[in-house]
Amino acid sequence: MKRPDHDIMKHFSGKEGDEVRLIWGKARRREQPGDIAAGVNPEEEWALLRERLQLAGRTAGLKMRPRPLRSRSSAAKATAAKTYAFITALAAVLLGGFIMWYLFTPVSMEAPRGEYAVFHWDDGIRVELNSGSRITWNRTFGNGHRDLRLHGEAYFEVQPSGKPFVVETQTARVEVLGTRFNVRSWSDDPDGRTILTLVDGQVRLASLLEPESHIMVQPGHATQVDYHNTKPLDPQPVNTDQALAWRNHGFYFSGITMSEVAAELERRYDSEIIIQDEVLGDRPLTIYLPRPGELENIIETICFVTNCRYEEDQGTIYLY
Amino acid sequence: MAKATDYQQWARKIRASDEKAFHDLFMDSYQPLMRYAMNFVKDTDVAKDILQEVYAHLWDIRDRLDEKKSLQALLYRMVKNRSINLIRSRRPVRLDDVALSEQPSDEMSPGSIPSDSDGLLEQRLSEWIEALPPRQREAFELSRFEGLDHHEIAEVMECAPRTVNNHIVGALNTLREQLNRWKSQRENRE
Repeated sequence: MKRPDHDIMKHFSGKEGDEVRLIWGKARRREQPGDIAAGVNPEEEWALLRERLQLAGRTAGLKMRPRPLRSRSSAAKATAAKTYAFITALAAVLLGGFIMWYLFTPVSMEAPRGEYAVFHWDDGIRVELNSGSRITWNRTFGNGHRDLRLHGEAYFEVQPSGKPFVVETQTARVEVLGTRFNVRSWSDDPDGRTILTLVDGQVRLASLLEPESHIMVQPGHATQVDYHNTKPLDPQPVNTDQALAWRNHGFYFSGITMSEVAAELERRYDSEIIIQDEVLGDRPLTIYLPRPGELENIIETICFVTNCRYEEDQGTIYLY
Repeated sequence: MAKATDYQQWARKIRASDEKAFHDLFMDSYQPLMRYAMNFVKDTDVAKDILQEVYAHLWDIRDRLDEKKSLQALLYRMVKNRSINLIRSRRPVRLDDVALSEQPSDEMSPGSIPSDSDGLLEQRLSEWIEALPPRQREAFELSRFEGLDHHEIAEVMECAPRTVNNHIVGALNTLREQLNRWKSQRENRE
């Protein structure tokens, strides 16, 4: 704002008013030490966002195609032929570039907040994505190697085919032959945890910090990889129905904090939940809701268990 | 930042899935929102992630945008909520600490102070602003630097517009006191 609001100025008269105008005019934001602008390029960030949201702008560069020229006289024909050859060459280069771009640009699929998504490939891979999760791969997928990257939580069913199938997260690499398993790895987790739950079959799991030293995981067991350990933790037996509760739109929270619970609910119900009590946010919660229904029911249950209260205002839920 | 009317037009166009308008909005608002997010999270990569989430979410809910409501205030609020939620999920933090809590720093090296007196005043002022009580500072900065009006600030700060008024008047009074003390010190020296 060029000058203070009228409502503000009426509080100051005469000399005070002059001082306020001076303060307003001279006020500058002090640049912080490691300047914010360093390391942040809005263009780059826009490119990421565009990719993620699959906006059309990505192909803009390829739409510029030279218009064919029409020769009006025989003298012009020779030049036209040259131009034509040039255009053909250019088109070939563009096409080649396009194919490379097409093959190596990652493709992604996302389950938006509040929704789920299912995807399968012809060679017997089926993926179910939990709300707010995304998988990316490139189009060479299936030709010799089958790697994909997961952000969030997904359940995989892989038919045995002899070709290895690899899921990579922020911290872990899961390699399988034929199996059913669940991987959970949210980027907002401060420890970068990847939790693997194996339903059947066998998988090899390694930390990205030390990909060579992998462990084998047995059916009915879960284990975890994070930023702090170079090897996965020892697998523990678990109830796989609970770990997979999300596939039937249920919830299973075991000893995770209220803030993490809120983050999960926000993704699943595409809503905003604000925890207004600093102690409450760090409180651990264990709760299994196979058929939770409406968000409000869940909030009520949670409030009953943790003895908190909630208020709803314009779609945002406040817990306190 | 662009004018409020631009934001209104962008809101209308983005609701109609206009990607050009979305791009314009992104380019115009990215740096200010980045700065705002950095007040909370103090880590460029985390702030970048928050902004990605905010813009992606905005695009997801574009059909629900209401051009009568301030798009700017919505963006700031989304950034703030996500920042606070993220901080909460990491460690116990009091709300007052979360709101723009940087301490007034005395690490200014003498060499960095320009010789002309106006430049000196500007530097002092930015230090005084950083030393304001958090809520006063937030209201003042959103008004002076981000150009939000009082209703928009009220939305971002989740309080009544009248409270915003009080915060800004309070901030200005504190800054006036500092200004007068500084002036008399200089006069004594001369």
